[in-house]
Amino acid sequence: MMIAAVVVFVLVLLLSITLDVIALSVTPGNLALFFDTFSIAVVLMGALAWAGVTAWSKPAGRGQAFALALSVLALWVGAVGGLTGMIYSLHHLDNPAKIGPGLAEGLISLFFALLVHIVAYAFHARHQMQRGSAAASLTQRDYTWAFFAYPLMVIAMVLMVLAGL
Amino acid sequence: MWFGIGLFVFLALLIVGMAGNIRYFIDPFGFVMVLLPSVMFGMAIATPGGFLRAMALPFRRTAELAEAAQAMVVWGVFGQLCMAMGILGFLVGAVLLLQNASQPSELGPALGVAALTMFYGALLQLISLAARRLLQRISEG
Repeated sequence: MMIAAVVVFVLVLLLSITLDVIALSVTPGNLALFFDTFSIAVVLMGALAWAGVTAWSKPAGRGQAFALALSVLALWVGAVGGLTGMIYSLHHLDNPAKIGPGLAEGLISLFFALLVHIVAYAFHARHQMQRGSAAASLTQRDYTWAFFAYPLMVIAMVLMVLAGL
Repeated sequence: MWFGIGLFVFLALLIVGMAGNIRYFIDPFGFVMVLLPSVMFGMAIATPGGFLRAMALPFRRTAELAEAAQAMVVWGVFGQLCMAMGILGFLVGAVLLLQNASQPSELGPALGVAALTMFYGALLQLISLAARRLLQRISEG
Protein backbone atom coordinates (compact mmCIF):
# COMPACT_ATOMS: atom_id res chain seq x y z
CA MET A 1 0.00 0.00 0.00
CA MET A 2 2.85 2.37 0.81
CA ILE A 3 4.39 1.78 -2.63
CA ALA A 4 1.00 2.45 -4.26
CA ALA A 5 0.73 5.69 -2.27
CA VAL A 6 4.21 6.81 -3.34
CA VAL A 7 3.37 5.97 -6.99
CA VAL A 8 0.11 7.99 -6.81
CA PHE A 9 2.00 10.85 -5.15
CA VAL A 10 4.63 10.92 -7.92
CA LEU A 11 1.97 10.63 -10.67
CA VAL A 12 -0.09 13.48 -9.22
CA LEU A 13 3.05 15.58 -8.95
CA LEU A 14 4.09 14.85 -12.54
CA LEU A 15 0.58 15.67 -13.75
CA SER A 16 0.53 18.93 -11.83
CA ILE A 17 3.84 19.94 -13.38
CA THR A 18 3.10 18.96 -16.98
CA LEU A 19 -0.69 19.15 -17.36
CA ASP A 20 -2.52 22.33 -18.27
CA VAL A 21 -6.01 21.50 -17.01
CA ILE A 22 -7.74 24.42 -18.74
CA ALA A 23 -6.19 23.87 -22.19
CA LEU A 24 -6.06 20.07 -21.65
CA SER A 25 -2.53 19.91 -22.99
CA VAL A 26 0.60 18.23 -21.67
CA THR A 27 3.92 20.10 -21.59
CA PRO A 28 6.74 17.67 -20.72
CA GLY A 29 9.23 20.54 -21.14
CA ASN A 30 8.06 21.92 -17.77
CA LEU A 31 9.87 19.05 -16.05
CA ALA A 32 13.18 20.58 -17.12
CA LEU A 33 12.34 23.71 -15.10
CA PHE A 34 12.46 21.59 -11.93
CA PHE A 35 15.73 19.86 -12.75
CA ASP A 36 18.28 21.95 -10.89
CA THR A 37 21.22 19.69 -10.15
CA PHE A 38 22.67 21.94 -7.48
CA SER A 39 19.40 22.14 -5.51
CA ILE A 40 18.86 18.37 -5.76
CA ALA A 41 22.42 17.66 -4.65
CA VAL A 42 22.30 20.09 -1.73
CA VAL A 43 18.92 18.87 -0.43
CA LEU A 44 19.38 15.15 -0.99
CA MET A 45 23.03 14.82 -0.06
CA GLY A 46 22.82 17.26 2.83
CA ALA A 47 19.70 15.75 4.36
CA LEU A 48 20.66 12.12 3.66
CA ALA A 49 24.14 12.50 5.13
CA TRP A 50 22.93 14.39 8.19
CA ALA A 51 20.03 11.98 8.81
CA GLY A 52 22.40 9.04 8.32
CA VAL A 53 24.80 10.33 10.95
CA THR A 54 21.91 11.06 13.33
CA ALA A 55 20.40 7.59 12.90
CA TRP A 56 23.76 5.80 13.11
CA SER A 57 24.14 6.84 16.73
CA LYS A 58 20.86 5.07 17.62
CA PRO A 59 21.33 1.30 17.25
CA ALA A 60 17.73 0.55 18.30
CA GLY A 61 15.14 1.55 15.67
CA ARG A 62 17.71 2.90 13.28
CA GLY A 63 15.33 2.88 10.29
CA GLN A 64 12.68 4.85 12.12
CA ALA A 65 15.21 7.32 13.47
CA PHE A 66 16.53 7.79 9.92
CA ALA A 67 13.05 8.44 8.48
CA LEU A 68 12.23 10.95 11.23
CA ALA A 69 15.58 12.74 10.93
CA LEU A 70 15.29 12.84 7.14
CA SER A 71 11.77 14.28 7.22
CA VAL A 72 12.84 17.08 9.57
CA LEU A 73 16.30 17.84 8.21
CA ALA A 74 15.23 17.90 4.55
CA LEU A 75 12.89 20.80 5.36
CA TRP A 76 15.60 22.84 7.03
CA VAL A 77 18.19 22.16 4.33
CA GLY A 78 15.56 23.15 1.74
CA ALA A 79 14.76 26.26 3.75
CA VAL A 80 18.37 27.39 3.48
CA GLY A 81 18.14 26.97 -0.32
CA GLY A 82 14.85 28.87 -0.39
CA LEU A 83 16.30 31.75 1.61
CA THR A 84 19.37 31.87 -0.66
CA GLY A 85 17.15 32.38 -3.71
CA MET A 86 15.11 34.97 -1.86
CA ILE A 87 18.19 36.96 -0.78
CA TYR A 88 19.51 36.85 -4.36
CA SER A 89 16.20 38.15 -5.67
CA LEU A 90 16.03 40.92 -3.08
CA HIS A 91 19.39 42.19 -4.37
CA HIS A 92 17.93 42.44 -7.88
CA LEU A 93 14.67 44.24 -7.18
CA ASP A 94 15.78 46.95 -9.63
CA ASN A 95 15.88 44.35 -12.41
CA PRO A 96 12.46 42.60 -12.58
CA ALA A 97 13.72 40.14 -15.21
CA LYS A 98 16.02 38.53 -12.63
CA ILE A 99 13.50 38.36 -9.79
CA GLY A 100 11.36 35.54 -11.22
CA PRO A 101 14.15 33.04 -12.05
CA GLY A 102 16.00 33.87 -8.79
CA LEU A 103 12.91 33.18 -6.70
CA ALA A 104 12.10 30.06 -8.73
CA GLU A 105 15.56 28.57 -8.18
CA GLY A 106 15.26 29.13 -4.47
CA LEU A 107 11.86 27.49 -4.46
CA ILE A 108 13.13 24.39 -6.29
CA SER A 109 15.28 23.36 -3.32
CA LEU A 110 12.23 23.87 -1.10
CA PHE A 111 10.21 21.76 -3.55
CA PHE A 112 12.65 18.84 -3.31
CA ALA A 113 12.84 19.27 0.44
CA LEU A 114 9.07 18.91 0.78
CA LEU A 115 9.09 15.94 -1.58
CA VAL A 116 11.61 14.13 0.63
CA HIS A 117 9.78 15.31 3.77
CA ILE A 118 6.40 13.90 2.69
CA VAL A 119 7.71 10.44 1.79
CA ALA A 120 10.01 10.18 4.83
CA TYR A 121 7.26 11.44 7.13
CA ALA A 122 4.80 8.85 5.76
CA PHE A 123 7.29 6.04 6.39
CA HIS A 124 7.98 7.32 9.89
CA ALA A 125 4.24 7.59 10.64
CA ARG A 126 3.60 4.05 9.40
CA HIS A 127 6.39 2.77 11.60
CA GLN A 128 4.92 4.58 14.59
CA MET A 129 1.48 3.19 13.82
CA GLN A 130 2.76 -0.37 13.49
CA ARG A 131 4.49 -0.10 16.83
CA GLY A 132 1.35 1.37 18.34
CA SER A 133 3.36 4.08 20.05
CA ALA A 134 1.94 7.31 21.42
CA ALA A 135 0.53 9.92 19.10
CA ALA A 136 2.45 12.78 20.69
CA SER A 137 5.63 12.40 18.68
CA LEU A 138 3.67 12.73 15.44
CA THR A 139 0.98 15.24 16.21
CA GLN A 140 3.19 17.77 17.94
CA ARG A 141 5.64 18.05 15.06
CA ASP A 142 3.78 20.38 12.77
CA TYR A 143 6.88 21.63 11.03
CA THR A 144 5.09 22.41 7.81
CA TRP A 145 3.28 25.26 9.52
CA ALA A 146 6.61 27.05 9.64
CA PHE A 147 6.90 26.57 5.89
CA PHE A 148 3.67 28.41 5.36
CA ALA A 149 5.85 31.51 5.73
CA TYR A 150 7.86 30.89 2.55
CA PRO A 151 5.01 31.02 0.04
CA LEU A 152 3.68 34.07 1.87
CA MET A 153 7.10 35.73 1.54
CA VAL A 154 7.11 34.98 -2.20
CA ILE A 155 3.65 36.51 -2.58
CA ALA A 156 4.77 39.54 -0.56
CA MET A 157 7.81 39.97 -2.82
CA VAL A 158 5.73 39.78 -5.98
CA LEU A 159 3.30 42.32 -4.54
CA MET A 160 6.25 44.58 -3.73
CA VAL A 161 7.43 44.33 -7.33
CA LEU A 162 3.91 45.00 -8.63
CA ALA A 163 3.61 48.03 -6.37
CA GLY A 164 6.89 49.32 -7.78
CA LEU A 165 8.76 49.33 -4.49
CA MET B 1 -22.93 15.24 15.60
CA TRP B 2 -21.45 18.47 17.00
CA PHE B 3 -18.40 18.00 14.84
CA GLY B 4 -20.66 17.81 11.77
CA ILE B 5 -22.56 20.94 12.80
CA GLY B 6 -19.32 22.80 13.53
CA LEU B 7 -17.88 21.77 10.19
CA PHE B 8 -21.04 22.93 8.39
CA VAL B 9 -21.02 26.31 10.17
CA PHE B 10 -17.29 26.75 9.43
CA LEU B 11 -17.73 25.99 5.72
CA ALA B 12 -20.86 28.19 5.54
CA LEU B 13 -18.98 31.12 7.11
CA LEU B 14 -16.09 30.54 4.74
CA ILE B 15 -18.40 30.68 1.74
CA VAL B 16 -20.04 33.85 3.08
CA GLY B 17 -16.55 35.32 3.62
CA MET B 18 -15.73 34.73 -0.01
CA ALA B 19 -18.65 37.05 -0.77
CA GLY B 20 -19.49 36.67 -4.42
CA ASN B 21 -15.97 35.70 -5.51
CA ILE B 22 -16.33 32.00 -4.83
CA ARG B 23 -15.16 31.05 -8.33
CA TYR B 24 -11.69 32.40 -7.44
CA PHE B 25 -11.47 29.67 -4.82
CA ILE B 26 -12.53 26.71 -6.95
CA ASP B 27 -9.83 24.54 -8.52
CA PRO B 28 -10.88 20.87 -8.65
CA PHE B 29 -7.48 19.66 -9.85
CA GLY B 30 -5.70 21.51 -7.03
CA PHE B 31 -8.09 19.96 -4.50
CA VAL B 32 -7.50 16.47 -5.89
CA MET B 33 -3.75 17.12 -5.86
CA VAL B 34 -3.88 17.86 -2.13
CA LEU B 35 -6.45 15.25 -1.12
CA LEU B 36 -5.58 12.15 -3.17
CA PRO B 37 -1.94 11.60 -2.08
CA SER B 38 -2.85 12.47 1.52
CA VAL B 39 -5.66 9.89 1.54
CA MET B 40 -3.43 7.31 -0.12
CA PHE B 41 -0.63 7.87 2.43
CA GLY B 42 -3.21 7.79 5.21
CA MET B 43 -4.48 4.42 3.99
CA ALA B 44 -0.92 3.14 3.66
CA ILE B 45 -0.15 4.18 7.23
CA ALA B 46 -3.28 2.80 8.90
CA THR B 47 -4.71 0.24 6.39
CA PRO B 48 -7.66 1.39 4.23
CA GLY B 49 -10.29 0.16 6.70
CA GLY B 50 -8.51 1.72 9.66
CA PHE B 51 -8.19 5.03 7.85
CA LEU B 52 -11.89 5.19 6.97
CA ARG B 53 -12.87 4.22 10.53
CA ALA B 54 -10.60 6.96 11.91
CA MET B 55 -12.12 9.51 9.53
CA ALA B 56 -15.64 8.59 10.65
CA LEU B 57 -14.86 8.51 14.37
CA PRO B 58 -15.33 12.26 15.11
CA PHE B 59 -18.91 11.95 13.89
CA ARG B 60 -19.67 9.30 16.53
CA ARG B 61 -20.53 10.14 20.12
CA THR B 62 -18.52 7.48 21.87
CA ALA B 63 -15.35 5.55 21.17
CA GLU B 64 -12.92 3.33 22.98
CA LEU B 65 -9.79 4.96 24.31
CA ALA B 66 -7.39 2.99 22.11
CA GLU B 67 -9.55 3.56 19.03
CA ALA B 68 -9.72 7.31 19.66
CA ALA B 69 -5.95 7.49 20.24
CA GLN B 70 -5.28 5.72 16.95
CA ALA B 71 -7.75 7.96 15.12
CA MET B 72 -5.97 11.01 16.54
CA VAL B 73 -2.69 9.83 15.01
CA VAL B 74 -4.38 9.17 11.66
CA TRP B 75 -6.04 12.61 11.64
CA GLY B 76 -2.74 14.21 12.68
CA VAL B 77 -0.80 12.56 9.89
CA PHE B 78 -3.57 13.30 7.40
CA GLY B 79 -3.62 17.01 8.32
CA GLN B 80 0.14 17.28 8.22
CA LEU B 81 0.30 15.64 4.79
CA CYS B 82 -2.51 17.84 3.45
CA MET B 83 -0.63 20.94 4.56
CA ALA B 84 2.63 19.67 3.04
CA MET B 85 0.87 18.77 -0.23
CA GLY B 86 -0.74 22.22 -0.31
CA ILE B 87 2.63 23.93 0.02
CA LEU B 88 4.13 21.55 -2.55
CA GLY B 89 1.31 22.44 -4.96
CA PHE B 90 2.00 26.12 -4.41
CA LEU B 91 5.70 25.60 -5.09
CA VAL B 92 4.93 23.76 -8.36
CA GLY B 93 2.69 26.61 -9.51
CA ALA B 94 5.09 29.31 -8.33
CA VAL B 95 8.17 27.78 -9.99
CA LEU B 96 6.31 27.30 -13.28
CA LEU B 97 4.98 30.83 -13.40
CA LEU B 98 8.12 32.56 -12.11
CA GLN B 99 10.21 30.80 -14.75
CA ASN B 100 7.73 31.56 -17.54
CA ALA B 101 6.26 34.97 -16.70
CA SER B 102 7.53 37.73 -18.90
CA GLN B 103 5.43 40.56 -17.46
CA PRO B 104 5.20 41.36 -13.73
CA SER B 105 1.48 42.04 -14.21
CA GLU B 106 0.96 38.37 -15.13
CA LEU B 107 2.27 37.26 -11.75
CA GLY B 108 -0.60 38.38 -9.47
CA PRO B 109 -3.53 36.31 -10.79
CA ALA B 110 -1.32 33.31 -11.58
CA LEU B 111 0.10 33.29 -8.04
CA GLY B 112 -3.47 33.47 -6.78
CA VAL B 113 -4.27 30.23 -8.59
CA ALA B 114 -1.04 28.63 -7.33
CA ALA B 115 -1.92 29.61 -3.77
CA LEU B 116 -5.22 27.73 -3.99
CA THR B 117 -3.60 24.36 -3.23
CA MET B 118 -2.08 25.92 -0.11
CA PHE B 119 -5.54 27.22 0.80
CA TYR B 120 -7.01 23.72 0.45
CA GLY B 121 -4.15 22.26 2.47
CA ALA B 122 -4.68 24.78 5.28
CA LEU B 123 -8.44 24.14 5.21
CA LEU B 124 -7.99 20.38 5.58
CA GLN B 125 -5.37 20.92 8.29
CA LEU B 126 -7.86 23.08 10.22
CA ILE B 127 -10.51 20.36 9.93
CA SER B 128 -7.93 17.83 11.11
CA LEU B 129 -7.05 20.00 14.12
CA ALA B 130 -10.74 20.25 15.05
CA ALA B 131 -11.19 16.49 14.63
CA ARG B 132 -8.16 15.77 16.83
CA ARG B 133 -9.45 18.09 19.54
CA LEU B 134 -12.82 16.37 19.41
CA LEU B 135 -11.24 12.92 19.55
CA GLN B 136 -9.25 14.05 22.57
CA ARG B 137 -12.49 15.02 24.30
CA ILE B 138 -14.11 11.72 23.33
CA SER B 139 -11.17 9.75 24.70
CA GLU B 140 -11.26 11.75 27.96
CA GLY B 141 -14.91 10.69 28.28
